[in-house]
Amino acid sequence: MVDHSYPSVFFAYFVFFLLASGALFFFTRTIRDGYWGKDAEEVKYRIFDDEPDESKPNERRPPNGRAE
Amino acid sequence: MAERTTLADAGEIPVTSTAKYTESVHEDATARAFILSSIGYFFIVGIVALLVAAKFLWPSFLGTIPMLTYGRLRPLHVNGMLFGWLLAADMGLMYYVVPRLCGVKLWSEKFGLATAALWNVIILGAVVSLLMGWNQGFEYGELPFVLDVAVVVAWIMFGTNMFMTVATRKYQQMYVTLWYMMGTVLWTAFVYLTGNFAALLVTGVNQANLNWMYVHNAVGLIFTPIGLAIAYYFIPKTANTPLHSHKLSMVGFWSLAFVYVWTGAHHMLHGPISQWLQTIAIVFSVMLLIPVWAAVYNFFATMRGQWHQMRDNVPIKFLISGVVFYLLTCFQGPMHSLRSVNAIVSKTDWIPGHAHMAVLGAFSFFAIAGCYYVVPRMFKRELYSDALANWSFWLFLIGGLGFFVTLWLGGFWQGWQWNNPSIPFIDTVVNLQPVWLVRFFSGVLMFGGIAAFAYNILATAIGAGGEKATDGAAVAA
Repeated sequence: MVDHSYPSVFFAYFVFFLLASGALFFFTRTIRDGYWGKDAEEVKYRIFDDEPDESKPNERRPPNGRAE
Repeated sequence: MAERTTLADAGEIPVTSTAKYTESVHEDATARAFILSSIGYFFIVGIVALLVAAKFLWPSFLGTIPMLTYGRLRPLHVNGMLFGWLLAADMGLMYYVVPRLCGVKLWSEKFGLATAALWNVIILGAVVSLLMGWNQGFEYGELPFVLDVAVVVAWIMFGTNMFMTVATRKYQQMYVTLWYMMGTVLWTAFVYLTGNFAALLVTGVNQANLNWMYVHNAVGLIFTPIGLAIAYYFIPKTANTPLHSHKLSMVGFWSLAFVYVWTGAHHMLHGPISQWLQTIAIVFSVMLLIPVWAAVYNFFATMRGQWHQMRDNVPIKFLISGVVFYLLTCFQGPMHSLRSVNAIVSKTDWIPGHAHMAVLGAFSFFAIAGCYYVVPRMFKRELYSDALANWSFWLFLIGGLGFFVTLWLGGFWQGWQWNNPSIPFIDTVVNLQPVWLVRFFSGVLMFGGIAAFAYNILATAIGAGGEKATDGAAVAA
């Protein structure tokens, strides 16, 4: 059997780099999107309001906003 | 905390209100398909589990028929439970939960049903191939290459439906369950490709290292995040009280994301891999206590003032017992990674005890709770029998405790014997018979739990109890 250890290790580094970059990007975005701010706890109440409003299906709500 | 209140206290419509689930706009066809089929596999593979456990006690049981030998049945049990039951049930619950958290319908029910059909083809293919002995020979990676490819296709279909639903969500901020779900989709892709494809391209110790990275992260980066996604949704939902802290849940998510992937090599301590790699695995394994405690503390704090619900709310019983098992198994993991402890318990029966506490005691308990919660709502009926659900809990709990504790202690006993060169190996095998006896009867109890759970869900789905008036409170528990 041909051994591809070195290419696979370099490939693994590449995948790790991609994942780590993605993780850092989205982690920093959570700061911008208010997950660590004063309204950060608002989202946990939405779990009790989980049936969609059929009159406006699939419409985005305002940033950080609850259903109007 | 002054502002801490439940919705019930605040006078809002309880989540168990009849109106809430009889007027649902969600079709839930995909969730039904995944959940019902997964419970069917849970029952069938539970029988296989009993056969495997019996073979420890009576090695000549079922003779020498190739399909019924330990080497064929054990991979069927492992893959059947992991992918036929647990992952499929978790996926089904995500098809239920994600549209609701996003405030929209599922992106495509047809695509979801096609995913469910493909998943069932994969599981049935796995049953045939593993019984025939067509096996790649890797722990957790036994499925033949063609089925591995089918799993990747099915996972892309699942991930597409989930991400497209999230992309059309009504709210910008996402509840922590969605974060864990999305993490699961990405991490599973990486972990599964590594364990089932990349591992084929390397040899020797590198192959073993990749395999253990896959095995450990199959639990840590597939079943842990999707299990926590379920727990974060159903604990507040079934207790009807908000999560203690969403910020803390995000701390848990991001610390898990940064820590977990490095731990797999702790299964190869004292083996022929470099010391720095072993040390990294140890350090990150101990650091796992951060995301674990962040999640467990959050769950316990959410239950503050709600502990009375443990008396008669069966989903809560499963969920909170699952949290305790999660804490225990995640205490075992870092301890197992210490060189001194590892020298005793590595490769012993301690390992299956630890794995069962994670996959059955924690994550299957979460999934069972989720099924008890969603099935009556999806089929718009009361649960067939609350008493039977309670029986299933106690059978699972007592059987599980017998299994976990016996193998935990038995593993240490086995390891100490292995470390004593004056004891012949075969004697260590014979000495473990009492441990395996308890293991078998604990398995019988757990199978009783599976049977009660499966019958209850099936009877609810087909309406065996008749169309009772759906009083919300009755459905919840």
